[in-house]
Amino acid sequence: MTAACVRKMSMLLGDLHIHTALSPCAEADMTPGNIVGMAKLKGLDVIAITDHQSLGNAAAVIAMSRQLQGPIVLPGLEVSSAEEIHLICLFSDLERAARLEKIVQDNLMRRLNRPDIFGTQLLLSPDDAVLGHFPDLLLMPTRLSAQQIAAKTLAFGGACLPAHVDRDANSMLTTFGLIPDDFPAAYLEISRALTPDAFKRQHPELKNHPILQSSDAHRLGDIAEPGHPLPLLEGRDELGVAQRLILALRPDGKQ
Amino acid sequence: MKPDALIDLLDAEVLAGTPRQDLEIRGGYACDMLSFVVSRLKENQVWLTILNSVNVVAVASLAECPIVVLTESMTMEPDVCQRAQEKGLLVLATPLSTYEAAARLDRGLRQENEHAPR
Repeated sequence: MTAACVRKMSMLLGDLHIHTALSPCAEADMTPGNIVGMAKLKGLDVIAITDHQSLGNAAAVIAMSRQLQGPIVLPGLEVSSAEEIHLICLFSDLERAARLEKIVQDNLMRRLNRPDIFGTQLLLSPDDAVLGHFPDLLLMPTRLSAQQIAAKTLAFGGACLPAHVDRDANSMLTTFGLIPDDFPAAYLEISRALTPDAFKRQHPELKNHPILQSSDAHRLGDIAEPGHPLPLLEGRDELGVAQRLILALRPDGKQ
Repeated sequence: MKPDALIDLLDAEVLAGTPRQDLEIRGGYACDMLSFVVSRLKENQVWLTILNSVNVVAVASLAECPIVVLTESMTMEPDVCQRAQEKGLLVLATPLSTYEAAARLDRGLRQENEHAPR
């Protein structure tokens, strides 16, 4: 990071890991209207929509938030790597996010969903109408390694965070036993199970690593309240908030 | 092999579900990658794993696998135990490693086959 571009904690509060009803594990009332309404009630400035492997409902949430003068909505993906590690991949706009989605979808291990077993995968309009069901099981991993997913995310201008590293399941820390030195993530995500300080006490080797806490909300009530403080890149006032947030979450602070 | 015999064999405790005496265990499968298990676990096999999330219950249901054994003293959250109970899945926990549990299961099944009436 150059002196002119410094990452600083801002006054913005947000939740950068929220599932819609597209994710089979999420409840059916995680609709655009409900998510935006709940985020407004909870006083969030920024949210990210991060369904498994698909952007299916991201545009609808963005449209609804505009309509309701709700929070800034970042389109994102929770990507499952070949090692079954989950990665949060965030973007400032849909066009960039769609480039990663294409690669993820092209490399998804395909099997048809069984809604009776895994849950429904609902595609929704901005006003919460059900447009259809995503046919392939979004819990299946991709054939891409965690490193490949991070590299692609960065190449497309996004930010990549190993998801919920404090958990047993699908965590880079549990699966690899450590965060590789060369893994290109500025921030590690932890779940709502413990505070960042408690996490650092459990993992002293990570005490200098920036941590971002998010809800991983699969139910409306789980959306963060209060929101978690978000970093912004300083010295780039010509950029919008979403871009400055994504830049702050990237390892080099650069586009 | 019946569930009660399996529980004794693996020094296991029941985390969820009820050992049904009409169940006949014929084999086992050991794997911790859900993407593998989804396509390879067979019905009436015991699934040996350190995974303990709600997806374990879903995948076992999908395969019609009646028993999941959590190895290495892994535990399961109450809400996941509840889901297992609802799906009629028996979840056991053993302090043994996956290797040791699989070895004991295999030995036990072979011994039963040797003593089975012809």
